[in-house]
Amino acid sequence: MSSETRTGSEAGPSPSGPPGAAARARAGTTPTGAVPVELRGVSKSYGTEVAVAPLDLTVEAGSFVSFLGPSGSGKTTTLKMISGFERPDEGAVLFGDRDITSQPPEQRGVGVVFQNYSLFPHMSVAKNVEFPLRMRGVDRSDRSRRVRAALELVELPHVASRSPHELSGGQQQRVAIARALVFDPALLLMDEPLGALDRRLRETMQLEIKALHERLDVTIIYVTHDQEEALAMSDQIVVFNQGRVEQVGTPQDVYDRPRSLFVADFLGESFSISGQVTGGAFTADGDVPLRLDVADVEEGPARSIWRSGSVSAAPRPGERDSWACVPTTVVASAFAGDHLKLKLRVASGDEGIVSVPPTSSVPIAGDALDIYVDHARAVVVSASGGTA
Amino acid sequence: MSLVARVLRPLPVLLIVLLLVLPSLVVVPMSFSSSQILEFPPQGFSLRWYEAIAGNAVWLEAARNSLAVALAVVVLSTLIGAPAGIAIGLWRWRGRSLFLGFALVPAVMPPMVLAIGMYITYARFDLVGYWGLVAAHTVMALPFVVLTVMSSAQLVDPTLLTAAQSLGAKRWRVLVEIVLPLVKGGMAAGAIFAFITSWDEVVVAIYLTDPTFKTLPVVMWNQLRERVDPNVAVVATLLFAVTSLVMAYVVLKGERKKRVQ
Repeated sequence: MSSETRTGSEAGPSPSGPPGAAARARAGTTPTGAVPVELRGVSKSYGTEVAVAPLDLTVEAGSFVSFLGPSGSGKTTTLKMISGFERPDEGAVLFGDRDITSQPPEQRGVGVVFQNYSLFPHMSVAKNVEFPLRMRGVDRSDRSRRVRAALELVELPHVASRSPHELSGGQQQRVAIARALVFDPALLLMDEPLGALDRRLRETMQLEIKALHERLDVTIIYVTHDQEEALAMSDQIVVFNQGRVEQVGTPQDVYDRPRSLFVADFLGESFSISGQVTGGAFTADGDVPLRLDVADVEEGPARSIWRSGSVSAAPRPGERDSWACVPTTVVASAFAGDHLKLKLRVASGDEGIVSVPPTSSVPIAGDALDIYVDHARAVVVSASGGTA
Repeated sequence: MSLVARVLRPLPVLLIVLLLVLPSLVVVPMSFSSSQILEFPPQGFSLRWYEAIAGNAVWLEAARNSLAVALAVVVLSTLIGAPAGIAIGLWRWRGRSLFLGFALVPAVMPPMVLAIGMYITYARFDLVGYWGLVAAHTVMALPFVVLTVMSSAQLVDPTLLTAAQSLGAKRWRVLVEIVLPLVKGGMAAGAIFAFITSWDEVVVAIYLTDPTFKTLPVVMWNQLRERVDPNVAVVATLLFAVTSLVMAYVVLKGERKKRVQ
């Protein structure tokens, strides 16, 4: 369990700084603004099944943090411990310096947006948005003003009197966002909010949510299993796997410098070669002529990973020297318009997919093909990390 | 569609109408008879038996009693059955199926068995007459209320409750603001079933009523045993009319709701 303590320190300030901070500076810092969230050794098990292993994590005030991972990786359970719908077995949840571990959800003042919108079907759009204000005893005139403002925020003031089932999925989710923001929460939790929408609408909504975050003084924790969504939206990404945090970092960090094979695979296409780390160097298996100097990698079985930009079948002339040549065999090839997708087998036993520019002769299965990998951009991770 | 299928398809419906509905409808023309005895086909047409009923204190008293019992049953069975239905339909808890099983026992028990058991136990506590019958009918109506409320509670998306709570609603407000409005339809249907259950119940009523307190079906039963005159046909027609009107209201309301959605 000690290995998990690293995640806390990694959630340090991102180079660019959270955009919410800028918004806060513009608006003049208010004590009711965005809060930082801190998890101290929280864990949760259901019977013998560990949903979340002891976890330390700090989410900065005003930042946009994504919890990314496959289903069952613990990201939603962690979110529920923050919203108050799950009580951690151990550890503490803090909003700023306030320990809210034992506070019921309705007292936490956290906005939550769910995947299936969860609008109350028996209330109009306006009544839905008004609901949290009514629960808080806000007086009538103030309520209608704030409902209007919240609906304007999501650009839907004209649907106020409609019933939720008369709206499209995207509109419903925007109303749900207005409802979760109308009471000015310091923290907004979004649990796969765009999962039920089609791809094009999802991309539009990503930008809208991002823009809302820029305008408002609110910390957003966003749960998703879509790595593109996490990369596009977040200040920080927390990658979950099997109840543990694999890595915390900026989108570029987790994409370009994955700490484990799992992170490398989950965040997008990559090409990898198995090998061994001995004496500060990585040597590829199966007589592949590849040797890389490495630091901070455990001795033993390891893998070297390249993102698509650092693998090529035909590097530019100047690059040929700094790139290493790896002989491969073509397993399958597919034409994809502006490029060819090749499935290649390396003598080390690995298979990977590489995109290459279309050539006059399309390689076919069985062909030998030399490809080039960038020495400098190789990421070597231990294969014994238990996450491969 | 082939000719055979075209002829055969409406057959089951025709059989139901012929064998089930028509025989029970013979009382309607019989109630308009001008003759002294209950007979079919009726002789002549008159409203004399309706006038007789309207001026008969026994029948009017019985109708009032039936209505008073049925309304009390509606209130009590809804107050007890709706929370039970919500609890079973909305949440999973230990002993849930067992609880449901117990709640449904009165619906599967032969009325005669219920009647004897209730008569013996209720008499011991002097629970006869109005409150005895209300208690017995409430027990008999409960399964319908529990079942209808349970099925509408099962349709409530549990994340709505989570959402309401995250928006600042305490548990009781979630219940009042979200759950109750969403199971309202089931509660109304249950209440109507409860009304009908009590309104036309005769077996248990025979045991638990006494000479000073009789309901409509009990008076009918007594009359039928003494002399067979069209009075009974009139009351039967009226009972049937009330019940059909209530059912027609339920069905039409359900249809309208379907159209809206």
